[in-house]
Amino acid sequence: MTLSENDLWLLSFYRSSEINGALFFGRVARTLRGGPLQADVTHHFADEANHAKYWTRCIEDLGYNAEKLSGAYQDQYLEAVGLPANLMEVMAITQVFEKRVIGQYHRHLRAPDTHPRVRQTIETIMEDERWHVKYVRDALQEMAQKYGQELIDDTLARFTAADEEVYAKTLAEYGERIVFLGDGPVDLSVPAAEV
Amino acid sequence: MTVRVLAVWTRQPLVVDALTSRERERLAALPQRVRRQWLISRHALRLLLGVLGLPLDTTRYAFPHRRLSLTHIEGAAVAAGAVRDTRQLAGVGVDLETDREARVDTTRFFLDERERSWLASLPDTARATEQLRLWTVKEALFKADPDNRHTVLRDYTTLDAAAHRGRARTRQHREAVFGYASTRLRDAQLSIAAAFHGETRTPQSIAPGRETPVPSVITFDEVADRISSTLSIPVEKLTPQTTLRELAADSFLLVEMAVDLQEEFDTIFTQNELREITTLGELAGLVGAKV
Ligand SMILES: [Fe+2]
Ligand SMILES: [Fe+2]
Repeated sequence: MTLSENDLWLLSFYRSSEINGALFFGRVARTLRGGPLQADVTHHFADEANHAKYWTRCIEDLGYNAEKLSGAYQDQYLEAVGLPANLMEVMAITQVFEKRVIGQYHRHLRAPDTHPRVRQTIETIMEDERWHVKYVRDALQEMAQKYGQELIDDTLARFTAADEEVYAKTLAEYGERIVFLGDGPVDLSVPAAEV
Repeated sequence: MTVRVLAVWTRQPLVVDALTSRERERLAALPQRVRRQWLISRHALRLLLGVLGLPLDTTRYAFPHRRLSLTHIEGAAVAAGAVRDTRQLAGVGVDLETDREARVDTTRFFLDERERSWLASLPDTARATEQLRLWTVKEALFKADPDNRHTVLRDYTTLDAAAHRGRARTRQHREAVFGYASTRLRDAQLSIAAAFHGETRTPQSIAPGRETPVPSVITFDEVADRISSTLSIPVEKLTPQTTLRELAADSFLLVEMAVDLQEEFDTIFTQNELREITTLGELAGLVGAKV
């Protein structure tokens, strides 16, 4: 089967995002000591690594090799939204980012021409993603004692705003490749793999 | 046994023309943004040295010092010194903190059960002030203690938490070998403590371990140790002047380092604080280390 250049790019982009996610949470996991968060973040780290594996296999099954992407979205993401200064901010940025990822995958699922193999991969990943959002939300709730609810709310608002800005810039940069992911006019034909 | 301790307070930086050549060298080695604060502290110390009749070149004194102590808050500094040098004097400590609302309950880190229940018995209006006062008392006691390498603030206990002038001891010693006094200084709380050589007090008998790693006063070396293990960089290469840029190959390393330090020293950094920081010395300062 044939993947258009854009399709292959997009699936490779997902893969590379998952790798970056794994690397990020691996490092967070490494800095944590004890407590339930240590186990959860380590689990999260493993999940993201698995997601990268799923995409690699999916692309392979479609008869391609994942493209090696440089300077992907997340590489600049942290710098653009501002480096988290403490553990609460790390979790806040995680929540914002996970929500963004889920939103992307949802949009992709809604596209009618999505190849079943791609659909299956996204659905598998989404099961984990739902847990990611949940445990991070719980962790942030727990942190209210230490950091104060107001500070947490402010931080989430700040990262959400930054995330939207970065995302808007990314859309501008990658143009039509991910235009269907945006909130504007949706071009449903772009991500589909052709049989 | 009493000892008279004099405290000098100032908001004025020492004029650069008045610096000795060695002081000028020190100043030149400091990042621009901490220079003003350094000059204010040096000014307080210089004034104190003058009053005590001691040599005025401030670089001759290393802290902790048996007879002198320094503390500062944003834009102000206090230097304290024993008026007379007596053989029984083991150390002097001073601490100044601006009034603030306690954002989180941190009392378990520096007060013992008895002190906490006394604090809890106070009306709401008095509690914040008294909590801050006790904090400065503990900081001053810690700074006065020449054997504080393995102690944390909670190891120091006042005989009567309500007393604004009183005695204190460490958990490891029955004997009250410390004296302290607290007072208000404008919108801040000032405490001064002195340590004395007691009969049973020997450096060896200080407990070697501690149950919880919550040092509230931290040395640069402790911070450097943590960073060295996070970044796998030999600790000898880490000085207060080392810049973060030299160390962090990518920006997330800085995040790892910051999170690790906050976990280790039980503190919270804000994004603004981190943004202001360029050297390890400043980073260590954020966790409360005296550099
Ligand atoms: Fe993922
Ligand atoms: Fe995820």
